[in-house]
Amino acid sequence: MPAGATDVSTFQGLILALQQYWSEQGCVILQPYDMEVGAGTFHPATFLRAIGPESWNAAYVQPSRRPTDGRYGENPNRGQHYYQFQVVMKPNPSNLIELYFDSLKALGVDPLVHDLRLVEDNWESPTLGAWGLGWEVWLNGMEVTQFTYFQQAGGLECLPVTGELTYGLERIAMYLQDVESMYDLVWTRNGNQVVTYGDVFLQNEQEMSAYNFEHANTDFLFNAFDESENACERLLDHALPLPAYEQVLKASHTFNLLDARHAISVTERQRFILRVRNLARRVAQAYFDSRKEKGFPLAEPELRDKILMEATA
Amino acid sequence: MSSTYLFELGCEELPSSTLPKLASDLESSAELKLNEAGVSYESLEIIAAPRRLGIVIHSVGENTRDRSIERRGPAAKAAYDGSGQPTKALEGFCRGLGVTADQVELEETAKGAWVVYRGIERGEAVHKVLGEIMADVIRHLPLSKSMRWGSGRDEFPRPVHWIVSLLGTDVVPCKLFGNEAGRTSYGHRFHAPDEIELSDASKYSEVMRRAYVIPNLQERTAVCWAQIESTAAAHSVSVEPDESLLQEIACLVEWPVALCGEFDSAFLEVPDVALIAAMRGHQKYFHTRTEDTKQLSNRFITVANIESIDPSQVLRGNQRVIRARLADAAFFYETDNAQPLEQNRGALDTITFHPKLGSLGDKTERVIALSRLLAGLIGISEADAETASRLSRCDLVSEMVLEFDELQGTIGSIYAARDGYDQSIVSAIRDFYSPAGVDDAIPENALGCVVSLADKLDTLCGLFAIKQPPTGSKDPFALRRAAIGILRINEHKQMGLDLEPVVAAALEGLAIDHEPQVTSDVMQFILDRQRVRLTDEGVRHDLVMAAQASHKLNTARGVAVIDALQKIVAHEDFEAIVEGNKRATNLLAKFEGPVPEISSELFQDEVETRLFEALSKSASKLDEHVSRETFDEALAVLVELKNPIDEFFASVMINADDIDVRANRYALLKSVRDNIFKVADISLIQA
Repeated sequence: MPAGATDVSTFQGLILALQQYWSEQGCVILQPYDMEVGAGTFHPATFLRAIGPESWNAAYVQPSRRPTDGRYGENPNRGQHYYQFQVVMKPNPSNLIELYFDSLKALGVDPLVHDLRLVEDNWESPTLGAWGLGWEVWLNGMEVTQFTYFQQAGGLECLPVTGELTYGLERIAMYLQDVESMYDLVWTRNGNQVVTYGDVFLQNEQEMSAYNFEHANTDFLFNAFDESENACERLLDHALPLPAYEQVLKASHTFNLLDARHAISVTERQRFILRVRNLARRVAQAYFDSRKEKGFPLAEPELRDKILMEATA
Repeated sequence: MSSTYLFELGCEELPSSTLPKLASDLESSAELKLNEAGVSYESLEIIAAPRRLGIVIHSVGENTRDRSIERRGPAAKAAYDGSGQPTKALEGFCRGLGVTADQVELEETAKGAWVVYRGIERGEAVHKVLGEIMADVIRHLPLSKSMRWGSGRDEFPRPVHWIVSLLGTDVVPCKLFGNEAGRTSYGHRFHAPDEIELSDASKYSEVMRRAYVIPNLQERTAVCWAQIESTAAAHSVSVEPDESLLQEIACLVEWPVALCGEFDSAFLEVPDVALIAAMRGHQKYFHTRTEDTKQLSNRFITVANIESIDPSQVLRGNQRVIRARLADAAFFYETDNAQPLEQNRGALDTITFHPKLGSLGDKTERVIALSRLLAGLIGISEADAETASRLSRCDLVSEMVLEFDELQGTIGSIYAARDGYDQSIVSAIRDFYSPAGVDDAIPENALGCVVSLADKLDTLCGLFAIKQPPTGSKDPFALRRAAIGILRINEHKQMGLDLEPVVAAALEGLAIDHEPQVTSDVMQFILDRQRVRLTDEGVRHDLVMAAQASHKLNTARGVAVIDALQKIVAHEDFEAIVEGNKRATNLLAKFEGPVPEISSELFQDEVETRLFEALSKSASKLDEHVSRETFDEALAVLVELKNPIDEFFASVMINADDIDVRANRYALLKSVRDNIFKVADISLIQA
């Protein structure tokens, strides 16, 4: 096992092994973004870095919150909080699929034993104005990873293309550990003592489900949504795309909470999504402009010069 | 000497939904372009697998075919000088073609004489053209969804990695997506990960088989099916053909290996349709039935893309996944069983059908009213129509349909049967979404036809009333399909209604203000759909127009008339009637003032009397045939009018001097036309 001491039979060992593997592939190993997001894609290290000509390779764990998926800790496969392991490589190396399958080998999944399949699945985020083509990766019929080649982010064409891998950590761990409930996952072992995923997160899942579905203050949330939108626009006026983007994240999560509270009707829902998308588009353009001003320092020289020339032409 | 040509485009896993179309587009485009270029060959075979798309052309001729060519040169005036010697212009033209001035001819045209060269262009060595032809074919494949990758600008459904272009044993140059063609290919992603150097194009299939790839889609599909069947047989179960699932599976594997797994038989309590949907939709498994009783069994067949060194692990994984899926389905079923279907009706009030047309609950109430009307019109139970309509959408808020939306209708009917409703109501709930497409059957019983018709008319009228009819390619509520469904259902033997009053009732029931124009817009929309549908089937446009003019939204009657017209339209006697009708119509168009009633006292000629008597006799016969829809007979009655009409035109002076006599003759003409119009407006029939 190249990951040396990491023990992939525990949840934290799985994370450590993936970090180790992708570190060896030249990725910047980042920490989770410290705000509520619905998926690893929302981390600025994916969404914003996918914009413009600059190269970028990163990997990180992202705790993800989807309030409507809460089940008060009673569903073995589904929760309002879970972990994604996210890898982005831009431009995508031509052997990204091989690198991915090698990462599974590093986790002890032998492709000559298991049936590994790339099943067509195209990804679209209406709130981020982003889409891409790719696959869901099946491990013996179970979806374990989403694999996407970004084509557009914030309404801007992605050139070069970012390759994105999103591992569903609980699912893979449940498979490797052969347990039926995510709460039974071994998080870590200390001698004979075992700490489970349930020990770490079950109470959180129960209480947060109650908050999301029953107690979240919708009046406050509607105001908060408006305030995030206003703040985002003000920050854009000051050419501050990074804090403006945080307001997009806040608005997006606020919308998700309102959705969980059934506070938004079907027709209004579309309008809220459009409001977030509109902000995301403007932030994307502002981020592009700010990087252009700095001369796209992380871009391959040839591509940088071409894009800068196109932009001035 | 002929040889085999191989072209292979190596890709990342192509989408299973588009692979078959890519293959067939590649085939037709290659055939066309090879032929255009004069490449001769014996046969071609398409390569279409997850990681490759291409073609094997057998027995390719060494050279392209010779072609006769014709090239226009300068005008004769410019080609020869005063003494008839070739000018510089002609010499240049000849040099370009590599011929001498005595090989060209002169051709007279409307614009004067021109130099023309007619000759034979010798075929080229095929290896010089194949690469360019294939590059051209690939570049022009119609792609519904394509992508870019890396830093490049090229687009294809998935990234491209290698190109093989090999004629016999030689590489034929070809450049695509920044890759130069070579002889290096790759086999199965895991079984044969190393480079494969192809030495001979004709050995492609065998080499690939050794590399765990069956390149041909049809062959792989056949292998999949053979394996699925034999695996089922080995486990004493049977499978049913499912072409679309089989094709999808064949597009997901390069080396199919069927395996039989099983799940806890306790799940068999859940309705079969839900179990099958979970297996088929989510996991792409074939379900199986017991050999003896043909009941759904707890075994399933999955097709892996690996000859696993430990298949039991593949099966264990798949069994885990399906267990979780079925546990969900069982949970949904138990939840749904806790209350009768009818209790879901209230929840429909909270789901928007359309912001301007209210909730699904509102729609349900409108469909109830329309169904009752339709049931009354065809003489079936209005109470049953109400019950079936009320229950029709209740399954939309069941847990089961929320999970498996393709089971709408089916789940409702299962729950209705559980709740003890009559079989006719159960079938109506099952069928009321039908027909979904052109080939889809219409509802089985009259009650189902009634509910389906009511539902579709409500949607159609609603969207027209709020001014959202389909425009161009935009038809988000599938109104064109709804209209076709309306037409087909109305052709059911128990239906055959005049839909005009039903459309009026549907618009009335919407309880929203709409312009009066909407009624005729809806009617015209339905008639337009009928015309397109029938002309697409090869019916003459003018016959459709003739029938529609007389029968409007009595759509099934219109079709019956068209059937009869098609048989008789070319008949000489019928053509005479068409001619007589045309004369009558033209004359009547010029008549000023109202046409009076016929008065026999004003007849001057016995020809007028004979026509009048013939018309009187035919009128009642025609009414009877129209109401019984025996249009062959109705048309025969019209044909019998030929002689009296011909006589009338031949021997009566229509524009008589006496005003009353003249008006009376016009009244006879109008009667001719009115009688004919009962069957069809044959003035619209083109000679």
